[in-house]
Amino acid sequence: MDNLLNVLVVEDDELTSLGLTHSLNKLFKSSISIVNNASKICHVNLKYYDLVFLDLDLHNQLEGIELLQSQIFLNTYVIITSARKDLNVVRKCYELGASDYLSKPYSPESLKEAYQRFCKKKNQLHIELNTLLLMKDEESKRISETIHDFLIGDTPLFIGGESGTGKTSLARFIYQYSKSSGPFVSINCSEINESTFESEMFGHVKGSFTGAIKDKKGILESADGGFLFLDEIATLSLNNQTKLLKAIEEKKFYPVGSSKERSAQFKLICATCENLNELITQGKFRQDLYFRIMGKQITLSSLKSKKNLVFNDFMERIAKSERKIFLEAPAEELLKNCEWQGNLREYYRFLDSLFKSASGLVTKEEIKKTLSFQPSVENDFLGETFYKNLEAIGLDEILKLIEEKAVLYSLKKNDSKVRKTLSELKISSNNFYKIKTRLKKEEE
Amino acid sequence: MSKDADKREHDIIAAIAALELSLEMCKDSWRDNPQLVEKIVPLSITKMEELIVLIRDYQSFRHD
Repeated sequence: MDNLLNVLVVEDDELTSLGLTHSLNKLFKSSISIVNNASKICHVNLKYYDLVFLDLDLHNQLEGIELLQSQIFLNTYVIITSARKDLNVVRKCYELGASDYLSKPYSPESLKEAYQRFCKKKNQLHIELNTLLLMKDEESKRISETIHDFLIGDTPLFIGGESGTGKTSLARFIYQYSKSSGPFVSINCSEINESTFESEMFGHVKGSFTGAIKDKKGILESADGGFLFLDEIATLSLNNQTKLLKAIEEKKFYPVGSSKERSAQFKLICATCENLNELITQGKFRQDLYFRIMGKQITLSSLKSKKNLVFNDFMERIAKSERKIFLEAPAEELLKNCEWQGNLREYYRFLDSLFKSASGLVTKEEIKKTLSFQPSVENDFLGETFYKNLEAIGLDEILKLIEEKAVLYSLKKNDSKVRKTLSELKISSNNFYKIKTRLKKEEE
Repeated sequence: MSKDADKREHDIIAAIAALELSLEMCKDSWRDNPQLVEKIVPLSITKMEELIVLIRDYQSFRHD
């Protein structure tokens, strides 16, 4: 962990806090703040801290436990430092969400081990993301930072990405990772009927309309104390977007037929595969709602850019599977170059289907049958950019560009020796000089 | 053990822990950061005096 860590030390004894600060500075690069009184914690913006060292006995005995109980450290990594050895106290701390417990006096080695446990826990998230959503280390590290920020902050989270990239799985995973004791309410906005939106979202009271035979809690109220995941948010009508905006801004709403205001506190995650900026330009999505939901942002990449990762994951699964499957060389080649249309959803469906049906040696034909799409471009070394340029400037221009690039590349590689370049490119000297002349003209 | 004895034992351990950290700081900083040591020494002396009182209290408490 090379980044600067923001550490908060909650300790009433000046000598101890100085000593701890000194030991921490020896261990890792950190910016350390000290709070020596429990009542001052409320003035501290806890979301900026990666790690908190909390003394249990501040000015009042076991005041640290009260701080844990108040849940102000929820989703923050808290290490308790205490001279108390009573196992009931230790258990209580863990039950209230502490991540680690250091008994005073602690050695520099114990402090180092506690730090290593913290690093492991921090890394655990991105390792789990790698497995769940087939991510590259770089991507999952970036995303895990965003998840941490979201969990300790007040702003909503927006998850974008093509269909099937795992937006719902990620939202559910974040909820599980948060260890929230509240509910996880997941709603696909496209499934909400335009006319019953208010009743679904805010609830209704008995008799408010035909068919309202009893009071019903709405989605927002059901999510109180937990997480609300609004998938496909772009499918909401402008009218319903307005109603939703008001409710999520104020976290207050009225059930249909009721004049009694209700409120709900929840962490909001929204997702869509649509380009919201385009929809705003087209007048189909409210800009104020866009700004409201775009707190922290995560964009999940498609599997097209992760062919190697997918293939390696597939081979690992085969190796771990009790049912042994072997791929024929052409089948292996097909999977290596497969462009996964439908992304993770299709990949997991494919795995499920293959492991259920296939046995022994699997052929290319069997793989093709199991895939729900026709693998489009097999063994294509030209890549997406080529096709984009082809459409933009035409084949003649592209061929000229390729010739020029090849000549320049080979000349550079061969220290401008023409004979070597000709033999490497396998072209005639006539052709070579034609290209050179063209290059010269372009330079002029 | 009664709550009082528990509290005394806790305070003694906490004071020893603070002094251990202070010793570590002095060892690391007396050459490069004498200002820090200057700050720590009076705090450490106070802490030692507190510790002596705590131990005496604890002993007399146990003899009673």
